[in-house]
Amino acid sequence: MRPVVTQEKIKNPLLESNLDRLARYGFRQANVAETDTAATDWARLKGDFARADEAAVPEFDQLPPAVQEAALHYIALKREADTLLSTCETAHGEILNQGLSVPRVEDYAVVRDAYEDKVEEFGAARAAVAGLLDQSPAA
Amino acid sequence: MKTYDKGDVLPDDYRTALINLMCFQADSEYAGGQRVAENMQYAPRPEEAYRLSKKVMEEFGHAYYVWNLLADLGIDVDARLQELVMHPDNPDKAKVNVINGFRKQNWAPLFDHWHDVALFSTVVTPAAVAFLGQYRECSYLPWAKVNTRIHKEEMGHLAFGVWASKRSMEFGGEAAREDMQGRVAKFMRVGLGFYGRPSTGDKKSEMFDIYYEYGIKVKKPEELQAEYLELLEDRLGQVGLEMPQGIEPDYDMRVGYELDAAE
Repeated sequence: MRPVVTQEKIKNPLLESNLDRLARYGFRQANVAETDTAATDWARLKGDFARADEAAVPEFDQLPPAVQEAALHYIALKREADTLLSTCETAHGEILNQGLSVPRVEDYAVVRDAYEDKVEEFGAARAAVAGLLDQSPAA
Repeated sequence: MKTYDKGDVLPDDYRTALINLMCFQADSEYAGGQRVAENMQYAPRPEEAYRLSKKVMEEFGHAYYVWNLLADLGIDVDARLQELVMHPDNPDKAKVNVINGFRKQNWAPLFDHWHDVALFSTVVTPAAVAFLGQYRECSYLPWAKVNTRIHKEEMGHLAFGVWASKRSMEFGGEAAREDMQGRVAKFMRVGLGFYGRPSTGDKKSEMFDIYYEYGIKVKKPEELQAEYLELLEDRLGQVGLEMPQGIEPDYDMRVGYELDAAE
């Protein structure tokens, strides 16, 4: 009986480093359990709102309730984007290791579209938080 | 113009020219995505990072679309993908056809700040929009269809450039605007060279007439230049930057898109 030869998977280090860059903003792979609090996520993301000095952006607990609510939505969308990006990476891996095919590329197109839509939503949520921060007394 | 659809028998010369240009597009889209991924190091804020990552995903998607068509034409596209993934810094020219501008040694020196990333999409992408846009009307219909999809997304990349440039100025003020103005010229040289040498005169491309006659390229470099400059002036105006005058094209950054240069 011939031994089963398992081909080693090809890795894509450049894409992995792409995700590492996002890790500074709290990127999480889809299969990693969520352990961070909203305050931790906010601390990583508040650079999005620091026109002058990041320290001038209040911590999550000090945000007015309306801003907190908008910030929670913004954080949730970022987490959803992370999950979708993680799915995109899986699709890349399948194409790389199992070969290009119309179904695989179309599968990738579907998750990519979903990720891209989510990034647009994340951007809109960021703008909404920024607008509220500008109006809030703590800003 | 005679057109061809999937499964049609292609004349040998036509097929050779078509495959050459399609390989350059697909391989360069993927390499371009890799370069954009490397630029993640310059993203200054979360939204910038996520939007740039979105662009990476799109560029890879463009490559996949065109490679799928090349597979129908009998090209081993998996070998091309693997070469680019395994040797991103210096893929073998005998295995993939990447335009010079998207090779790391030529790309990396252009970037040392997020302003460069924002400006690339504002100043160079209009050239890609104009150049690749012509393939929507080319004589190989499956490629024309795919490029309609790609063109729409390239327009989105232009919007990313405008967004990123404006946001840089929102955060950085006049100092950021001045810094960015100083960086426009280097990218404009690349943009001006993107669509190739003139179609007439002693500097003309030897292959242009053949591509044009086959309907694979449907616009002359002069038309593409006019389209590029119109787009560029509009986008620079939107972000409050001036278009530099007297900039000479850098044709070397796109070398490889012509069949003669590839051989």
